[in-house]
Amino acid sequence: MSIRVVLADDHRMIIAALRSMLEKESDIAVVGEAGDGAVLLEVVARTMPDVAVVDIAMPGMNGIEATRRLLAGHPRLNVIALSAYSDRRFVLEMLNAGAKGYLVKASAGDELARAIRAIAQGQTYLCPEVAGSIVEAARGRTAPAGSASANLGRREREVLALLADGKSSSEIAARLHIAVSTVEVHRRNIMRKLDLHNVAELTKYAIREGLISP
Amino acid sequence: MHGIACGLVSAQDAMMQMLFPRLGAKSFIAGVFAILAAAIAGVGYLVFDYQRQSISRDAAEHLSVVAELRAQQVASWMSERRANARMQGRHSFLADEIGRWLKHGAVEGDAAAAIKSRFAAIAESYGYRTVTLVDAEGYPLLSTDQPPEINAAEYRAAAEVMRTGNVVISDFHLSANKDKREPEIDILAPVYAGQHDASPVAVLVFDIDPETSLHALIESWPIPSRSAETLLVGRDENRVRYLTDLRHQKDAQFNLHLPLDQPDLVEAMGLAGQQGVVTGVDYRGVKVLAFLRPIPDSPWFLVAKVDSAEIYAPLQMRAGITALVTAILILAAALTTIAWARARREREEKLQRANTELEERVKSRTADLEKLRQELQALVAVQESFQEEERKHVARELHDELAQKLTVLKLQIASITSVVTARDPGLTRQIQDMSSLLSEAITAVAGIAANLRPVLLDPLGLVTALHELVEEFSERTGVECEFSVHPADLSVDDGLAMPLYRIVQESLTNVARHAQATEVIVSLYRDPAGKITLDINDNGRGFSSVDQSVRKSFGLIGMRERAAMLGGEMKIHSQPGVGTSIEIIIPAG
Repeated sequence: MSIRVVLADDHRMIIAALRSMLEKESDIAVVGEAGDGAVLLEVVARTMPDVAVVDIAMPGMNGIEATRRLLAGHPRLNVIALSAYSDRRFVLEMLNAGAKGYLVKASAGDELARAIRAIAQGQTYLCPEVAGSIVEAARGRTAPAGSASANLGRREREVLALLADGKSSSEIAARLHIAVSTVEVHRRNIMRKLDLHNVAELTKYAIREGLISP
Repeated sequence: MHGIACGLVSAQDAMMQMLFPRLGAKSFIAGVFAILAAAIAGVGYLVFDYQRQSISRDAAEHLSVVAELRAQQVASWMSERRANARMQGRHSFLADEIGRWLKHGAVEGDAAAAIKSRFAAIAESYGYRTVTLVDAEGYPLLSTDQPPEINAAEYRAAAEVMRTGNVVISDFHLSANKDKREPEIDILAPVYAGQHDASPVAVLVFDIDPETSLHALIESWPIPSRSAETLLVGRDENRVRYLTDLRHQKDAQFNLHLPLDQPDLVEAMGLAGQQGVVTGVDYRGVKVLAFLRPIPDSPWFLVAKVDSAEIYAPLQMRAGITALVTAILILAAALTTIAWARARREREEKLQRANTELEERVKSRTADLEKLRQELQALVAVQESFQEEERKHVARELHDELAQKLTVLKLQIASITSVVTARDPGLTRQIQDMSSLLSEAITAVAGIAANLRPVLLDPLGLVTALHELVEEFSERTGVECEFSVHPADLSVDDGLAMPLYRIVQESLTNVARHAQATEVIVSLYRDPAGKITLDINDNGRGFSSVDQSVRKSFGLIGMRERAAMLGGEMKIHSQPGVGTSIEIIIPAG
């Protein structure tokens, strides 16, 4: 039985090219096309495909948002992200949105069919260009952007702990091998983010969060 | 005069600067005028004084000449009379006759009559009033006057003649004639019976009416004068006795006595021994200039005097002229001073007006400039946003038109690759090359487009784009760079996103290029009211605030304009050796 695929991209030429490539594959059937996020939702609802190949940069609702909604409505759907760009942020955003695969358009020619098959089986498929970024992200080098409300950076957490411990700015600076002025900026940012106004509040927060022991 | 005044104003400034930097202009002008007026007045007075003294000298000289002349005349008259009297007493027929008569008893008779008629002849020819013969005891024997009389003074004088054998001229006195007391002078001469006798036998007394003899000599003044006169004065115990008729007071002769102790009375001065030129008052109490000269061999004094008023009369006119000229000069000085002060004031006013005008112009020019600056700022802002729009448009075109087509091309090549290589394996390489070339082209186009507009910005928003920018920067430069944002879901309007991104991009470029920092923190914060604060802090070299070249080269000026364009402001703090912080504040709304 063929894998049923929906293609979404705002450029007709791209869709035409992808379709013609996939038509050669006997186990893949293109069952729908969409030019933007809204149409995509509707097409998926209508055709109930196995895999959706979604371009990130679509007008109106972009691919990331569309992916989230699709998966919210159709949890068993597998989404492959398609993008002209390999920027790691795109990759992470799409993966966070629930996509299982990421392809760079220019290399799609060889890999699209393979990716679809892999995804259909529940695997993850990342083209080589983006795989490296993911590895780095896995290693914790890339900080995820905006999720929790009190989102302190790594350094900020370190400074917070020392502040709550009663250390002065120069002591903190010496400890962390950074400039005193840098410590001051971190302190200010921490106060802003946590809406704290003095050391007492700061200490309470630190205890609450388990950064220091009472 | 105006020209002089203008010239003076310039000179005055130079002088004032040099001499009296603190003195007010008004007091300076007043001072100069005062000095000038004083100088003119002083010169005027000196001229006047010189003239007065010159007149004085001339008058004194004139008086002295006259006095000298008259004194000489009096002296010579006296010596002539003395000689004559002596001759009568010794070397004359009269003396012989008198000697004989006395020897024969001195009786009345023809001899006496003959002597008397000789007396008359002598009196007439020599101008004597009376001639009297006095014997050795002082008893008057014969006279032209009947009866022969002598007074006490004549008696004493006769005794002196008898004793000394000298001719004596008596002082002025009133005549012995009781009816007519007239001033007279006696000349007493010893009579010698024989020419070679040693002692006299009798005394001849010749009375002279000084009026006829003496006065004519001295009373006339050589040149016409209103008040000048010469007088002869003598001492009468402690009084001045006027011996000649006075010009200004008739019948004063002998009748006017003035005390000797009046110090400014010129006649008294003479009798006190003073000689030469003196000033004082005369018998009338009128101020005079006088020349005092003693008559030698006599107790008398000659006074040649002239009223001060008369000699100084021409002086008055001259003084008047001098005063007038002085007044005119002072007036001219005053007018010049006034013109000077006025020119000065005009100049000050002109200066003031020019100043005010200048200030006005500067003010209006500054206002114009301010307006222009604001317009320029607005223009720059509009231009900036146009540019960004343009770039956005071009980037999109590149992506949509070019990149996509190239991608499609690559896809199509990929799709025919297997068919072609199956049919003609020799083309495999060529097809691979084509594919590679296309990949490069796609990458190149993507790069160009990314330079024009950051790829992440529109799809993913400012916060994500900044995260990526900061991380890329960190990885590229090795500088520890952090991005701190709050709230985490902060999003900004499209119009704000690109400029803020650019600001951060440029700041990081600056840090990389100049700061030599090891830590950079980019913070984006929106407060509950909606005010957005973006700041970039580094721990680098910093720069001092006076370092204008830094500001220019770092594009800080442009950044400030960008911030202003967004309706916000930019603050920079930098401390050399500590670090730099750039803060952008965009108010809510």
